[in-house]
Order: sequence, then structure tokens, then C-alpha cells
Amino acid sequence: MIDIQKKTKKEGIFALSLLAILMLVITLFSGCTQTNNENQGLPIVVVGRDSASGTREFFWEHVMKKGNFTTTMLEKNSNGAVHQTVSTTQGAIGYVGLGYLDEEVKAVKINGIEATVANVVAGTYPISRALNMYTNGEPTGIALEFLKYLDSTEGQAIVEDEGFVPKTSTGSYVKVDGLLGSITIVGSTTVLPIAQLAAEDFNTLYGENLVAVSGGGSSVGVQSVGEGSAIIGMASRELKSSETTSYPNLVKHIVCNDGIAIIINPENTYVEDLTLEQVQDIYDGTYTNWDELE
Amino acid sequence: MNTKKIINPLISGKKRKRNEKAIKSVFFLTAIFGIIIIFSILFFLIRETYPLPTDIWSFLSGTIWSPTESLQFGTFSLTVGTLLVTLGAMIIAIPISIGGALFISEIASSRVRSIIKPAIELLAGIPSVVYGFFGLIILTTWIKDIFGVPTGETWLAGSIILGIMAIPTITTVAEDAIKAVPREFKEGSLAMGATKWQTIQKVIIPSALSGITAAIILGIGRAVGETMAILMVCGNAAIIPTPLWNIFSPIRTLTSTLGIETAEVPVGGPHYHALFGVAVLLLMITLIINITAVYLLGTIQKRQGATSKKKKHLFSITLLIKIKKIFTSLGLLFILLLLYLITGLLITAILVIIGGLLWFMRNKISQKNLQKIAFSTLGAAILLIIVILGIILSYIIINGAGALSWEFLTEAPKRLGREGGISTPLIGTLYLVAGAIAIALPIGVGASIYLTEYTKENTLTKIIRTGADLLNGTPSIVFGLFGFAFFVLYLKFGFSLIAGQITLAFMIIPTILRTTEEALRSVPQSLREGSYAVGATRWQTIRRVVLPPAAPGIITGAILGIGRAAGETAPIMFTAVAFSSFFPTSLLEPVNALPYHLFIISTNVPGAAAKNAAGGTALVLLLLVIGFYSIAILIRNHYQKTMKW
Amino acid sequence: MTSNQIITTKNLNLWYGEKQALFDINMGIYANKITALIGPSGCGKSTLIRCFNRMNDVIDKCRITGSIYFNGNDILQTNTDAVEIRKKIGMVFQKPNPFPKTIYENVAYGSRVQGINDKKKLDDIVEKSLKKAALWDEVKDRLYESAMGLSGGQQQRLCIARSLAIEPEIILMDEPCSALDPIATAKIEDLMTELKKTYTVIIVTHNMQQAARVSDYTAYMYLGKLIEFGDTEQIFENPKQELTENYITGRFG
Ligand SMILES: Nc1ncnc2c1ncn2[C@@H]1O[C@H](COP(=O)(O)OP(=O)(O)OP(=O)(O)O)[C@@H](O)[C@H]1O
Ligand SMILES: [Mg+2]
Repeated sequence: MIDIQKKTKKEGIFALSLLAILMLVITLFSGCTQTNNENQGLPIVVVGRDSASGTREFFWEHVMKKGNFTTTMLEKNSNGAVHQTVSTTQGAIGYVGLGYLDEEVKAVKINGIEATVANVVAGTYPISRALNMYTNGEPTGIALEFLKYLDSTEGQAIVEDEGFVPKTSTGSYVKVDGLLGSITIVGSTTVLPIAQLAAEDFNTLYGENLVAVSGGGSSVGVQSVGEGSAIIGMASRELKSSETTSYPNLVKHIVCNDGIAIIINPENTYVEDLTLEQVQDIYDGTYTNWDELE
Repeated sequence: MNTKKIINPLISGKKRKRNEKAIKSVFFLTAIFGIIIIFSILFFLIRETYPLPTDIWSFLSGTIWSPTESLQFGTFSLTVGTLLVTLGAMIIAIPISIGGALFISEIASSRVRSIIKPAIELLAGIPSVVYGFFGLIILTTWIKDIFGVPTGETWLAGSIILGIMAIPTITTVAEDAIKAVPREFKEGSLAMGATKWQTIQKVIIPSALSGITAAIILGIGRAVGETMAILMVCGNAAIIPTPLWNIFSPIRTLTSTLGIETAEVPVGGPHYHALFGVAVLLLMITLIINITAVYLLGTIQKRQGATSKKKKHLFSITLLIKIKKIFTSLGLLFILLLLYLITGLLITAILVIIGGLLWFMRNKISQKNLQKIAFSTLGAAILLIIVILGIILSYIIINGAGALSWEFLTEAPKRLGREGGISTPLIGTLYLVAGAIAIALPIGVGASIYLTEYTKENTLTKIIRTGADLLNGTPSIVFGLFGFAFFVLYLKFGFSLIAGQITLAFMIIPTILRTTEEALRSVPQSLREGSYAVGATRWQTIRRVVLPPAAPGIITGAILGIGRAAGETAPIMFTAVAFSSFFPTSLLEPVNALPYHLFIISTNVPGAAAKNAAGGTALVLLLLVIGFYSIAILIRNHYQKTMKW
Repeated sequence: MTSNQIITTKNLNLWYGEKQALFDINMGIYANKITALIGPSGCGKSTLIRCFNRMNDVIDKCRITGSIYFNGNDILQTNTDAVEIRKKIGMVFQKPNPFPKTIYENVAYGSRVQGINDKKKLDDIVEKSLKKAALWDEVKDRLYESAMGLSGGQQQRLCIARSLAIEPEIILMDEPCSALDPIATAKIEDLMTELKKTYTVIIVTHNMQQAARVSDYTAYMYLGKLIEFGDTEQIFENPKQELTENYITGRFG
């Protein structure tokens, strides 16, 4: 049964691969590495959103002018993830909503204009889009009141707190009588924070859980309100043609605007200011190193 | 004289027979459920694929995935990405895991084993979102800094994370296989003067080969189907690395494509259909892996089976050995390449020379020293696993401990989770898990009772078993898409507790089925015969003699299923969850769940307060899942000690 | 068919898958006697004895042709209920296989599955059976302890008690003493002689002396065939077949 002499080959290969792995591990952990090639500038790491993202679609239409993104672009499915990658990657560039700006990332000026809520309101900062809610037909009852609440001073204050760009408010919200039942709001995770916070305050105001909010994504939002499983659908984009054919009765309601900041790592000293064309050229892969932009 | 033969007294018990038949058909129904599920998954996924926005050939072979802009739907780079990441993961995980398994079962003292084994099993209990955060924040940064590459979100990062995630699966299954090698074999070898290491190579590994292969295949299955962790660390650029072995290239897998794009895609559009096409493709790949696995295992088992006559196999033994050689050399080549990329030419050359020398001298080194070298390598493997576990755990504890308090557990989240606690996601997770187990346990246990107790091996049982195996290898995200297409859209449940519970139940049925089957099989046949011999019926035998000693095994399976269900994000993401601060009042309302809550507050809510809460949520999720696993391990250990035949 | 043959087999053939394990077995078992089956390992003794209580039903790929008459009824007919047969034909296995339950529950098991749950009745059955199996004195103080704690010999007698508890007509014993020491073996042999008064016993054994000592009839099997069957005395002292003689005198193989 046992055959000690034969097939020592197999044993050798086994031992050798184990050995090689051990050495690999040792090398890895002893930090035996080459130094960064500082003199070669800083390669650009392009970070964007996923194909299904409303933010990406907007960026593609207004910054890329519908040109293709470079294939090496890293794709993230949330603002937070883009922020995370840019904050830890020296050569990275990304785009996020203004609410995500903090000291861990640096927003570049676009055409010399700083990315701030004030500049979006003033119309000087060029990259911003609307965040929407949809109802099936004109809203009534709780839905109507909730949308009114969002438009009010209270609602737009939440918008501003969360770093979105407020609309001119319709004044302070006035509580009404006779609201019965409850509604659900479903959809875009970008709009979700506003809706969630507003719902919390709205429910507290009425002392009842009138509004429940959940995520799922813009498409789920449109689908749900179209099919009737939600009363309000949230979307960070306009309706697609397929959606307008399926659900012709949807009514749009703009909640606020969302300014989109172009962010880089704070340690990136190559640029402070980019033109829209330069951003486009970074994202389509024309520029691959920051020193080309200095 | 006994001549009254008109009525045969031995034909009786019509009623009892009818009862037995009824019981059997109940079990039969549960058993075919597995096949029904797999077919309905296939059916609904394919149904949603139609019409595919492009022809099948360019869907499979096209390299550009641009579903919304240039409207190209080529998945080839995604397929390549999936395969490459898995390959890398296996190169990392296989040697470490098998080394670890050998160490645990053959070298470690029983005290050491009793610590290390549960530790590795705990590694399996860590939810994949948690791995993802660890990978994104720690691992990618390390890779970037150590190797001086522009970004750490690379193929390498993906392979390392998947490798770590596959280690516990491979280690535990391989260890079981090694432990199952009869002691007589070992003693026979040792008695002939072979060293322990020789015995391991010559007797133990060959005898355990089928189990080890099964372990590896399970590991591959786990790696191919992983979604949440991989989408966070791979960068998700849909490109084929240039050159192909550039492990520092970002990469995109089929699962991560589904994970990041499905939630926002307009239902019914070309992108939507293409994503379901991706899901079908992913399912097909896992099916192929699974079928190959089942087949390979069958051949190996047949080859080892003593009674079987020689049959012609598609894979002859020599071919198998050849395949193994090819894989070993490929692996070696890959490692060399890696070494070259990392350390440069000189060090690689030196290592190759050292390796070559060792290889050359292998016959000159005394067996004793060889054994020493081998054992320390195995020890290193196990040490590595423990270090990894330690790093991940301490990272999560350090980041989460600050947020933990009684209020954190009992209050509903407020202001997007920045304030308040996590009571709703915590309770939501418990709801989801309770529902899932209530559905999955009867079906899984019933099916395995049918398979082990009621049937002789035939085509039907083979189909059922294959169905269960396939289900077991089905990626969790595929369950998620199926749940979305079937429960949410087709049955119009909407995002609801019940849709999530059923989807999770489908996912854990195979886990329960497998562990239960194992537990039932471990009850000695002689006990059943003893019961039949005194006139017990089949059902009486099962209920009174087979089930009681199998109960701990079944409970363990159920708890492992619970743990898996609690930590999964992908299946509930499209079926059940809402980022809400309410408790659901009916089965048709959505719920919040810990992994989803964690995912949202850490990716969609800006600010330091959210980060803090995310740390706490991750820790609670980890503790919850690890708690379930620990209970399972404790039960098992307790009964292993007390149960003796 | 002789009237006092409780079991008669007719042209019994058995296959495990492709492999035939029994060839045309024709034999009769006499009531209230001990019949021993002897023969080299693998010749089909266990296979044959397991046919008598249809225990081969539980084995995959096992196929049987021919007939086995028990009290004149063919038990191989498909409409015969195996459960009923097993209540009348008990079996003791080679390796003791007590259930991981208490001693009491082990013995009471057969009655319980027949629906007897009356505590008094069960107590009675347990005591009677244990006494018959010559185990009562050793375990009467530990009836509610696990049966797994008994010694091998005790476990085997417990299994005998377990099968006696359902009051069968026949007891099949497949090498019941192979795992036991001489003292335990002697106890079980005495027991068999005792049991003969009320039951018919069929025993498989590798121990020639044992067969000669306890049995009234002996059957010698070789390679799945019944070579010779007859009075134990005749078989051992004056075998008709050369094969039998070789085996008995140890010149086998
Ligand atoms: N479950 C089974 N499947 C296939 N073959 C079997 C099975 N059980 C027994 N056999 C074969 O049938 C033949 C007879 O076996 P059996 O166990 O009856 O022998 P035996 O006379 O009892 O031997 P021993 O004295 O060693 O117990 C043997 O060749 C054996 O390999
Ligand atoms: Mg036998």
C-alpha cells in the first residue's frame, strides 16, 4: 500500500510551492519593496459612478458631452464609496454631491468657480441637476402635504443641511387636519436622506407615522409608484422613454438641486482649478498623469 | 399443523401502510422542491433576459460593457475578471487552507486544535460586507503603499479578499476529509517506518483526495459567487488586464456588475435585460463548475471505492494526474511572476535558484529534516490564518467599540442613522432570519430525510441531489435577482419582509440539507437495522432512532444557515430592505436589516457621525453572526464529546 | 414440506447489483431447534439469514428471486408486510447495536413502536425479557442508565432481550459471540439452549465447536451455495461432501 520511493516528484512540487508561498509572504510582510517613482509625476486614477447611476448619466451628458469614459475608470455605486477612494488615493479624481465635501477630499474649482451651494444657487457653478419625486397623477392627501412640507422653509432647511442646493421655499409649513392612513416613499438613495429626515420631522409634527421611506434606487422608485406599490417615487434622474411609455401618468415634482463637485485627494498639489474641458479629457483618458495638467 | 393459508397473516396493516406512504410523499415533496427552485430560478432569470439588447455572441464575446452610454453589452471582460479573481484567490487559499487543514488534523495537539479550529470557522462567519469594508479601507491602502501602485483597488486586492473568504470553507471541509481517513491506514504506514510527513503525503493526502477536491470546489464556488466584498475592493473597471497577468490592474466581475448596477436600473429597459443576461451567465458558470465538481468527485470516489469494477471514465487517472501537474506548474509560474513583479529580477532569481537547489537535493535531505521543513511550512500557514483573523477582528472591534451602548441597541435610528441606534435593522434582521429558517428548516430537513432514509440511489435522487448541489453553488446575488423578478415584480409583493424571507430561505436550504444529510448518515446503519429487526416501521425508526442522535447535527446546520442569512446583503438588497426606522407591521412591508443599514450609512450618508455608527453596526453584525456560529460550534463540540457509538 | 419446518426456502437466488451472492438455496429450518450456518467468510451466510426477516430490503440494489415460506406463506411476495415478519422473526446482529437510549428504553422499544405505552405492561415486558436474556441481575439497578455504558457482552445480551421482548417465533443470530470473551460466549450459548424451548433459533457462526456444541442442525455454505445440510452430528462426524469435510477438518483453502 505504501510506496515510499516512487513519486517523489509530487512531493517536491508540493514542498516547493509551499516554500515559494512562504517566501512570498515573508517578502510581502517585511515590506521589502521598491520606492515610489516620484520623478514620474502622479498617475491619474479616474473614479466614477456605476452605469445605472443618475449622477453618472448627468455627468456624461453635461461634462462628457456624451463622449465615452476611459475604460480604466473605477466604478463605485455610491457617493460615499467615491469619497472613500478619493480620500485614500493620492492620484484619484472623482465626482460627488456637494454634501459629501469635507476635509478628507478637495473640491477643485471649475472654470475658476468654487463648488459651493451659493455658487450653484447663483448659477455660476456649472454642474448641477434636479432631484425629483414622482406621483401617479396629481398628488392628494398625505402625499400632497408631504410634498408641500418639502417645499416649505422647514423642508428646504433640511435640503441645505444635507449639502444639497435648496429651491426658494414656499414659506413656513402649515399643519392641516384630517390626514389619515400612511404612505410609502421608495427610490433613489441620493434623495433618500432628504426624504428620510423630512419624514421624521413630518411624522413628529403630526404625532403619527404618516410617511415611511425606503431606498431601492431610482428605477425601483419609478417602478413602484407606477405599479402603485408606493405613493411617491424618488429619482435622481429624469424619466426614461421606456418609463414614460409604461407609466404615462407620472407627475414630476422637483425637490431641490444637487451640485456635483469634482474632488481630488488633498495631497494632490498639481491642480486647484480645472476647466470643464480638462475634466472631460481626464475622464475620457486623454490625460493619464497629473503632471500633464500642471 | 399450520394450514390455514387462505388469508396470509403477514399481509396486514393497510392503514399503517397508507400512513407510511403519506409520510413518504410529504418528504418526497420537500425533496423535489430543490429542483423546482432551481428551475424556477432559471426560468425567471431567462424570462427577464428577453429581449437581450444584443445578439448572444456579441453579448458573450464583446469586451466593452457600456450599457447606458455607447450601448455595448459585451460581458467578456467581466467573465475574464471573474475567472482571474477566482484563480488568484485559489492560488492564495488552496495551499494555505490545505496546509492549515493538515496542521490541524495531523500535527496540532488536541489543545491547540480546540482553539484553532473554531477560530477558522469563525472566519467563515464574518459577513461579506464586513470583509468588504476591511478590504476597502485597510487592504487596498496597504497594496497601494507597499507596491507603490496608483490605486490599491486591484485584481490582487480582490483575490486576497476572496482568498481569505475561501480559506475557512476549504480548510474545514478538507480537515473533515483528512480526519475521515481510517486510523489503520496511518498506523499501517507508520508501522513500516515511514515518517509522519511521508505518511501524510503517501497515505493521508491520497486517501482524502476526494474530500480535498470537494473542499477546493466549494471554495471556488464561494469565490465566484461573492458580491459585496468584491465590488468594494476591485475597482470595477470593466477591462481585461494588460498584460493579462497584471495583478495591479483594476478588474470587474460578473457579480459586482450585478451588485452595483441592478438597484438603479430602469425595469424593462435594455440595461435591465442585459443585467439579467449577466445573472444567467453567472449562473451558467457556477453550474458548469458545480457539475464538473459533482462529476469529478464521482469519478474519484468510484476510483477509490473497493467494490466497483473498472469502468472507462472520461477523465482517466493518468489524465487527472496530468491535469494536476498542469495546474501545479501554472500555479508555480504565477507565483514566480508575482515574485518577479513584486521583488524584481534579482530576488526572484535567487529564490528560483534556492528552490531549484532544494528540489535537486530533495533526496539528499534526510527525511527527518524534510519533515521539519514541511511541518514548519504548515505551521506558517496556520499562523497566517490566525494573523489575518486577528487583524480583521481587531480592526472591527477598535472601530466599533466606541459606538456600542445599550441605547445603540435599543433605539431606532434617527437622522439617517447618525443619531439613535440600530433597533430597527437589528429586529429586521431577526425577522428576516426567523422567517427564512421557518421556511427552510422543514424543507431542508424533509428533503434530506427523503434522500437518506427513503430512497435507494436512483436517477431521481441523483437529480435531487444535483439540484441541491447546484443550489448550494448558486451565488447569493442570483437569488437576489430571482427574488426581485419573481416575488417583487411577478407576484407583486413589492419590497417586502416575506419576499426577503423566502429568498433567504431558498439560499440556505442547501446548507441545511447538506448538514442534515451528513448528520443522518453518521447514524450507524446498524441502529436502523436493530430497529427494523424488532418490527418498527420506517417512520418509527426515523423518528425514534435516527433523528434523536442526528439532532445536534441538524441544529448545527440550522444555526449555520441562520448565520449565513443574517450576514447576507445581496439577496435582500433587491427584495426586502428599506432604510427605515419603523418596525414592519405586516409581511408585505419592507424592513431594515443590519447589513443593509451598514451598507447605506457607510456609503450614502456623509459625515463623521455616520462613520461612527457604521463602525458600531459592523461590530454588532459581526457579534450577531459570530454568536450564531459559536452556538453551532458549542453544540457540535458538546455532542461530539457525549455521543459515542 | 415437512410439517415441523417453520421456514422453507425454494430456489432462492440473490444478487447485489450484478453480483450474485446466493445460488438456488433450498433448505428447511425446523421449529424449536437450533440451526447453525457455517462456511468461509463471504460465502453468503449473513445474506441468507437476512433474507429470513427481509432485512435485505434496506440494502440498495439487492434483488431476490425464489420463495421463502414461513408457516406456509411466501414472505418474499411483494404484498407481504416486512414489518409483520420482523415482529415474528427477531434478529441479533454480529456487533451489538443498542440504541443510544436507556437500558429500559432499549428493551421497551419494540413494544413502544407497536403502540404499547402502558407503564405497567412495559415494566413487565422489560423485566421478563431481561431475565430471559440472563441480564436482569446485572442491570436491574441501572435500568435508566444509558445502554452505551454496558460491556460488549452485556450489550449483546441486551440486544437479545430487545428482540425477545416482542415475543418472536424465530430468532436469527448473526455471529452473536464474535465480539465476546469466552465467559460471555458461554453465557449466550447457555441462553440459546434455554431459548430453544420456546423459540426457533438460527445462528451464524465461525466457531466449529460452538456449532457442534449448541446446534441441532448444521448447514454448510460455500460461495453462495448450500453444500450440505443435515443433523449436526452427521455433518461433523460423517460429512457427505468433500468440501464440507475439508472445511470442518480445517483443510480448507
Ligand atoms: N451490501 C452489499 N453490497 C454488495 N455486496 C455485498 C453486500 N453485502 C454482502 N455482499 C457480498 O455478498 C457476499 C456474501 O456476503 P455475506 O456478508 O453474506 O458473507 P458471510 O458469509 O456472512 O461472511 P462473513 O463470515 O465474513 O460474515 C460477499 O461476497 C459480499 O462481498
Ligand atoms: Mg457475516
